[in-house]
Amino acid sequence: MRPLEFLREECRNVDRALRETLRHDYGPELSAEFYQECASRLEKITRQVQPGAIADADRQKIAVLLADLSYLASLIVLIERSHLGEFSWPFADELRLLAKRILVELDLLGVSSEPIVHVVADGRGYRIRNEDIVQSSSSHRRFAIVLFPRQLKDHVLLHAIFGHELGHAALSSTQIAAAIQSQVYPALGGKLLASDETATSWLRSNEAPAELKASLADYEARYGEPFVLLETIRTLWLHEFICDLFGLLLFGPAFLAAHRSIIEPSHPDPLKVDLLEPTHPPYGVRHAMLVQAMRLLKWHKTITMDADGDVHLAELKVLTELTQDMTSKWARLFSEEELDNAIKGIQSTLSGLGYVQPSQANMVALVGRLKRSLPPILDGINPDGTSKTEKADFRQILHAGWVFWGGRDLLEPRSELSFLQTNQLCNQALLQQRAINEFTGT
Amino acid sequence: MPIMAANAQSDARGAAWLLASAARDSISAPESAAEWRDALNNTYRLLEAFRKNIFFGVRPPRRPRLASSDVELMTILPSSERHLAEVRDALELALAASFAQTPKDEAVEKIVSVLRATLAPQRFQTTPEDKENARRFFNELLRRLS
Repeated sequence: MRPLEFLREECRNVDRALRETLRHDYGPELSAEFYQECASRLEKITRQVQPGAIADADRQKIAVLLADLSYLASLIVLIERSHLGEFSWPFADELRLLAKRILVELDLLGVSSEPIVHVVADGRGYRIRNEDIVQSSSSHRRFAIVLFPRQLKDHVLLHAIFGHELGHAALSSTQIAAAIQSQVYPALGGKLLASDETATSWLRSNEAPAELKASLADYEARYGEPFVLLETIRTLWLHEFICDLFGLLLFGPAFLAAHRSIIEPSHPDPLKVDLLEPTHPPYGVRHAMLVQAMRLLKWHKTITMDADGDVHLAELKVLTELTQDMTSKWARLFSEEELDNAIKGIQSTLSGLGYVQPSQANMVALVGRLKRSLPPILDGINPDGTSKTEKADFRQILHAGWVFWGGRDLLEPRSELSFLQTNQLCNQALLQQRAINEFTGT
Repeated sequence: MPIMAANAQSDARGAAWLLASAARDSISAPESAAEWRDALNNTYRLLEAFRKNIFFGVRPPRRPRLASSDVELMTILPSSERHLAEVRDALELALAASFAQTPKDEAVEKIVSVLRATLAPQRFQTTPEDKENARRFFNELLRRLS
């Protein structure tokens, strides 16, 4: 079979695979646009392989079109991998709305284009893969593929970590990435992370942990040269810091709670720098930055008051534990001024999408519902007997969920809910809140 | 390495080559530009990312090694060897060869203006000189991506 014949055969094969996906059940309004975009890409590729449009001898074009087709085939598989029963679709819905607004881009003629957000569950960790800047020539809209860990189907409290992943997606989007670059990079990358010298001096400073000093000495003895925190690594670290801040500003204290729950267990030594694969800054440095940011945002203070009794005590306990900085001064890589500027920079790029804390009354009401083993939504009865429905942002529900879970020992009566059950109630609340939002048109 | 890696499924250099090819052909034959609308839009996004210095990925340093990217770890997404940094290098060299004395920002804006005028000639105009430079830029880019 000649290369061009194989290319045409592949077009037919991908077309057949795409049509076969039609037999699958799709989530409401979820997969149709994904299917249509795939069909549109395939149609454009097919047009380019018609007789007269491509020469048998044009091997370069045949090769890149084959690669494009192969990529398209891998996307088509994702249609079949999206099963509603494998992830929290109320959470996915909220995430989709955020992602579409954050990742919007303008095209050549100034028309805005939102990504197509496709959700699947996989066996690995949380991920969002935004199609990068070099897209397939045939694409009309970008895909943002959201991957939920299959085993955490109901764990919406942990899903707040998606704030970090949205940050990574934002860094590859032409609109918001440019804004982050101009407003946040200088704030965080200007001092200790500015050069090989400044960053390496920080690693080698007197205040650095003794274990790190020993690791640096071992490295130098083994490789015959000192370890240097190169720009390549510093760029990756800077991205991790920015994405952590992005997640905190987008999801609030629930993000920090999820961040700590998910990441801390894998870092028995929170200040360890993996000198051979330093793709991420030490966990302790990231946590210290988030704690500093919580203070700058005044989120380390309780929303509830003494008069709120057990709910106040629970909130106080959760905040005290969350904002406890277990590391040394060395781990505070950024000054308050640098961090404050970075926070302001990210807030300006979020254009109103950032987290807003619930009112005191709403926090008490949301936690109160969980105390009664009910989904945490804002409900009630008006004086005229009609039901009272109020919008609660889904992130406030997650915040209340963490206050309940972290402070449950102090709540009266004592709750027997497990972490899974707490998550399931919060997941149900997201579902009910979606219905309320649709009913009230908010 | 899986056998199909030879297919270079997700190599960004191939996608960039297709974009540059579509852009060059559209500038030469603007009457058919409408059918390349999406390719021109994607070329525009690539140029914007290049102009704004948006992250194009990193090259692993000699030592320490970098871990495989997260994307590569996913069981259901393409492998991550995208060669984005090589695309950025090709863009830089093509720009230097075709707009030698013009600052990067200005040169990219000129190319974008040509693409706009190609796609919507009723709304946007360009000069023959910019058009020629843009064509030279895409030819140069194709050569470096081949």
